[in-house]
Amino acid sequence: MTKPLTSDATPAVAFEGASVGYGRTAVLTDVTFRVETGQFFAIVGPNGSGKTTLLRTLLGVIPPLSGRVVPNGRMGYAPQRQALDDLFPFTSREVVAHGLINERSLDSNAAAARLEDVLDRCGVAERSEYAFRDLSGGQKQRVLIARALVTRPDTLVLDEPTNDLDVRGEHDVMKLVEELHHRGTTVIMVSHQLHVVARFAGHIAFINDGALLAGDRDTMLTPQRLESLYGVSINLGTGRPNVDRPAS
Amino acid sequence: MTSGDVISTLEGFGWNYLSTLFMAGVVSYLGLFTVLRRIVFTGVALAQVAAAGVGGAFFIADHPSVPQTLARFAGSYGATLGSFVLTLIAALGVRIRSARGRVGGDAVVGFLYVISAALAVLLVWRSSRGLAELREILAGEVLLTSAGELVVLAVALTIVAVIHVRTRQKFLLVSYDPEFAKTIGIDVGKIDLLFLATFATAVAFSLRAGGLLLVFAFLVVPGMIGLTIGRGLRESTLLSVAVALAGSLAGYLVAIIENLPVAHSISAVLGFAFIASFAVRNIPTLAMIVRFVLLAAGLTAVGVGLWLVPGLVSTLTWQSPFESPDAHRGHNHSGTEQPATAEARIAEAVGFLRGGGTVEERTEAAKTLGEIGDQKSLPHLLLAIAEEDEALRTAVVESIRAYVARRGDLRIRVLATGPDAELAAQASRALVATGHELGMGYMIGFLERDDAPLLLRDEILSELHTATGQAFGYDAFAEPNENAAAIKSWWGWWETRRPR
Repeated sequence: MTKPLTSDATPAVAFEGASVGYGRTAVLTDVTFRVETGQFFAIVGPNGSGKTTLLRTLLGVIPPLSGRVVPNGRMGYAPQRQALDDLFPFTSREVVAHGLINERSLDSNAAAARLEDVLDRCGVAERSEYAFRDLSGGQKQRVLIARALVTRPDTLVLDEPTNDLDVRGEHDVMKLVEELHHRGTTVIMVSHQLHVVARFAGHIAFINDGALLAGDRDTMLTPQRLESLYGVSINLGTGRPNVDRPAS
Repeated sequence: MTSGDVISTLEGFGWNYLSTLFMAGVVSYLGLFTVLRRIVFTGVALAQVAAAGVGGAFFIADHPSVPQTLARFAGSYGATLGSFVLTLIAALGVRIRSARGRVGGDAVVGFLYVISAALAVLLVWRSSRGLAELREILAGEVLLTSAGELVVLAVALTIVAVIHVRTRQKFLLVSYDPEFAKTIGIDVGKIDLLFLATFATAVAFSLRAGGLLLVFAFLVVPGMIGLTIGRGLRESTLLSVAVALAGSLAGYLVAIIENLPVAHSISAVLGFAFIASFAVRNIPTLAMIVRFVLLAAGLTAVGVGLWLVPGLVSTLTWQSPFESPDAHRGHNHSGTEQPATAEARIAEAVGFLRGGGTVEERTEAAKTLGEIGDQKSLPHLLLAIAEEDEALRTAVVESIRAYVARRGDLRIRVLATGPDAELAAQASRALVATGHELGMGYMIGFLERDDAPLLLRDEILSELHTATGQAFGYDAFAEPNENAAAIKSWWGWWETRRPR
């Protein structure tokens, strides 16, 4: 079940009949969709549906098994903060500076200026000398976004940026992402938090049962589609299933 | 033991000490990566694989069906090359298998450890040589290092260090977040391969100089200490290296003063350093003091190494026990003038002892060397232990006994497995003559050496035969391969008789 998004503009990334997976095992087959430049695009699906595999293919970390994936411009990637090992005693500044390791043409002054700029823009400059592992979840996520931004990406790719964050952390992270989007950055975000997706994403791709369906928010977030996808009625305000309250 | 005795004994271990410092600096730095990447057991297993590589080289060198050219090559370079290649292959195997296999990475590492530990011994079991060296490696003793071996080790470890200085940031990122590294265009596979190659190089080259235990210790403990009390990665790195260097110096001092094995002493010192670091980690003032002390001690260890260098270089020429005895003779051969310094007295006594005087003069010289008890005179005393004249021989043995009472027998035991075959034989004899049964084990080890002069081999065999009533069909004049069964029998016998 795939549906292409068509446009004459150059897309930020286009999947053309791509199968994605590991080794010889395809997780998703015949995937065709485009993320247009400037969009806020969310990829949604239940656990184990293939969101991360799709993201890794999009980033070029794993090649498609067949078909084509055509990225345009540079991708800046912010992974889930839980994926990083707290044993490494990096400061926040060192983590962000990792984004510049392969920038051979950048002299040290320009690199330092760029580093300060993104730390400031992401609101983590004051915490830049703190150990990354000692930061709150929201602060860590903003540092990882800063690391992605320091590479001067055309597209920001976020993997579950608000997973397990408290309300304040979620607000701070999504406020930053929204600001970046308003300034023209294309955003691709993997999330299973429907209330976040419903609030911020203009375009959404649902992954379920090995197939991908993409469209704009109003088309995709209908109560009927969500119920068929998750098997329960979903309250989009909270992103959680509607539950009948027991009589008091 | 006076501080002067300690210092001169340390001077005697000069090349070993310097090689330990090189290992401490580079292997502990790599050890930080093994702790951070949570691959400590991989590191330990790879060191064991390197030992199996040494065994493989000895197996090839001694196998009768192997062409002579290849056997000679394996005998000369095979141990280092074999351990390097095998370690690299194993490291790649762990990486690939862990990434793709259905069996967990820890199981693969466990398998590697078991199979290489078994192979390391089995490969040399039928070998007429190598078993003694491999035993030393597996037992974890610091082996005697010559200047040449130190240069090879230093070159290999310096190459590793230079690669790490140039590629440190990429190594770190690939270890920390390989997925992100790929997205910014870093070839993660290539960088990981380079890391493994440097790791294999460091482990393979260090193993023969330091033995398994020391390599394990440097791979694990300094990194733990650095991460426990370091503030940030840079400081942790610096502390890891500093504590390894400081632990080396402290370990040597403990070994010399208490007459204990060096590798075990260093490992124990590092262990206590970790416990101390762990205890103070949450007490800022104490942690700061410990950090300062460790850094200062690390610098001191390097300073001691640098201080030893000029003396070591000079011994390359004058300290050789095979040098002409006249070279050491003082101007006062007639005895009309008293030598002004201990150094001059030693030089004069050595001159007499090594053939430059009558039996009486030589006996007096041996007694003089025994009174002074200097580190540098030990090889000369050892080489005189088989003298025919009984009074002279007794004086030599008593002088060696006095040396042991003053400084312990550590240096003699190290010389008994050292690269100089004649010195090794006489050191074994000295141990037996001074009442150390372990000397017999070293004599058996000497029978295994393919560089042992035939007559000396025959003499040692006779002494063993006299002492034990056994010969096991060993023929001192046969080819090394022909004595394989006899050597095996000797070791079997030794296992039942050795002091526990």
